[in-house]
Amino acid sequence: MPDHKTTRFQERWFALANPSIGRTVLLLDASDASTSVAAGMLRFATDVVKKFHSVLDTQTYFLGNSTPYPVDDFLQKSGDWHRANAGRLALIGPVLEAVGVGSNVEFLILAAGRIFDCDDWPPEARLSQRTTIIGFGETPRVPIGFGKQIPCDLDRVRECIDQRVASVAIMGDGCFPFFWSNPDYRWERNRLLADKANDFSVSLGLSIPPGSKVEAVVTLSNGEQTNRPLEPTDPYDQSDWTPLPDVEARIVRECVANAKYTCPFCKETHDSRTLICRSKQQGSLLGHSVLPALEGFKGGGFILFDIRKTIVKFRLHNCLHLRCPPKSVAIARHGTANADVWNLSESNQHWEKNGERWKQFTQVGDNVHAIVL
Amino acid sequence: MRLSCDHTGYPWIEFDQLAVSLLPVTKYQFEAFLSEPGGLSNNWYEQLLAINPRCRWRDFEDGSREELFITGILPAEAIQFANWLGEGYDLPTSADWKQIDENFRRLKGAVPRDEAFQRIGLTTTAERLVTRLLKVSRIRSWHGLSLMRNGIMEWVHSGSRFGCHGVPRPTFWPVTHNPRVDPPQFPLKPDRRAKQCGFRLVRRTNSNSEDS
Repeated sequence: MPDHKTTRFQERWFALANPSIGRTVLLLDASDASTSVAAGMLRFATDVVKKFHSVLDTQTYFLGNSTPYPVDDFLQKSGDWHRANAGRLALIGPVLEAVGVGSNVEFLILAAGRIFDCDDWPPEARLSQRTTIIGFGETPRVPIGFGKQIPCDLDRVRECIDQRVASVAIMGDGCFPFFWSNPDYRWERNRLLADKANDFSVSLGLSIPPGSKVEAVVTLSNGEQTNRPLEPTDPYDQSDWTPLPDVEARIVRECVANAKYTCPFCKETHDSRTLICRSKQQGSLLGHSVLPALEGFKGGGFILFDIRKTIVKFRLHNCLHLRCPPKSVAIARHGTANADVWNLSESNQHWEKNGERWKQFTQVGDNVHAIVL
Repeated sequence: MRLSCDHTGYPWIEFDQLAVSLLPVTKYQFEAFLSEPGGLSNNWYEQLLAINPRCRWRDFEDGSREELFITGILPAEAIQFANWLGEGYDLPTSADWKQIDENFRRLKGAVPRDEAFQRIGLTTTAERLVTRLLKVSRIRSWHGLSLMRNGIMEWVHSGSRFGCHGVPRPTFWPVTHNPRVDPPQFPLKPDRRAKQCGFRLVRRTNSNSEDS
């Protein structure tokens, strides 16, 4: 199959893992310094657990203790846990040993005084940047610049710890996608964007100009943005082909060969663009689909046919973009049976919509033809 | 002579019937004890750090090495730590201390580098602390590493009392004490916390050793 390797643009495949934003580990101070403020601290911790359960780590800890306590039991058992940990020195080290110094978690510490070992950890652990501290009673005493100290205020807590992924935008100068695996993404203003998804992972095929850098910009619910690299990967495999019944296979073969076919219902000749027979003889106002195997895919975008001597197979192309070698990408218009065709310009500098009408049964690969439904 | 480590992950050395911690007890070891519920905690530790601050084990300098060790501690508190560490741990007697000093002095051969300490299962903290101490203080001998000299004053049993042996660096705590010949120093106010007073522990493999 010809590809863009002969042009200045290249086809490249990338993958983005679901951006795992650090969950927040709740840490409580049960040292003797916290005794007089323990009740207020536990009340506030309870509010935090109720309000931010979804972004909290499944385990909570007490300073000085590596034992995890399940956050799901916090509301019922936090008083007992606090009593069992009362008098422990306020150290973060044992907790770090339990969760891993390099782990991708944030810390919310409810503290009453000094935390003694904050500066034991190397700068590369980024502990300071990952920590939010709320003081009870005495002002928390940590090294200057360590962590972010906030007042005892749930709104401020939300700003600091509610870091769900709000959107992911994948972009690169001059890049044009011809496939992506996650239907929650859409092509919008020269970027591949997903903003309402549970899973932001995606494999994508891109036509990219030399030297272009592709990256994903992850925006968190608190507005913070981080850049994530995309990993080069193998072409995405969609191998779920289904055999087409013989009658329909014959129609597909005729359409590919002659751009028309003999209708099995009215016995007339239809243009390959007409996949519904509305002959009055059939007595149906809606008409009959000549490819009933594809009925469930209406409005779903491109259908691909793999046409062999003895069998025709089909599958849905799970993306509104479809590569049409050597230098085109078709974009299905969502919910319609039409598509726009974009071409790489003559100068190979950019992509442009060429105004051509999409031709059903366009060849898009060896023995592979496509229609849009 | 055999190297091993205690359950805080710090190195010990065994001489005949007496095992001894290679270094005076560090703050980081003691913090493991303080992390147990119900005992000494923040307020108590704050008092000690006001006397001798805590330095970072990761990148301390030679000039602050005395801050690695727990000092300002009272003998009874040191014994609490020993009991927590396990059965058979105790402060040395004055005679033990002198014998240990001599044993370290007689110990020939170069101090092992990182690999030997890794093999005995030191914690990251202990391993980093020992190797950094060797480096920043340019220590070559076992006796130098033990800090029996140029360390801190260390609590010892002396009959029914507690005294101290040791020769700290003058920059930390100047003394005119020669442990080879002098009896232990006895503090004027035994209940008062003293910046220079820390401890190391011993564990006996027989119980015949007595103060001389």
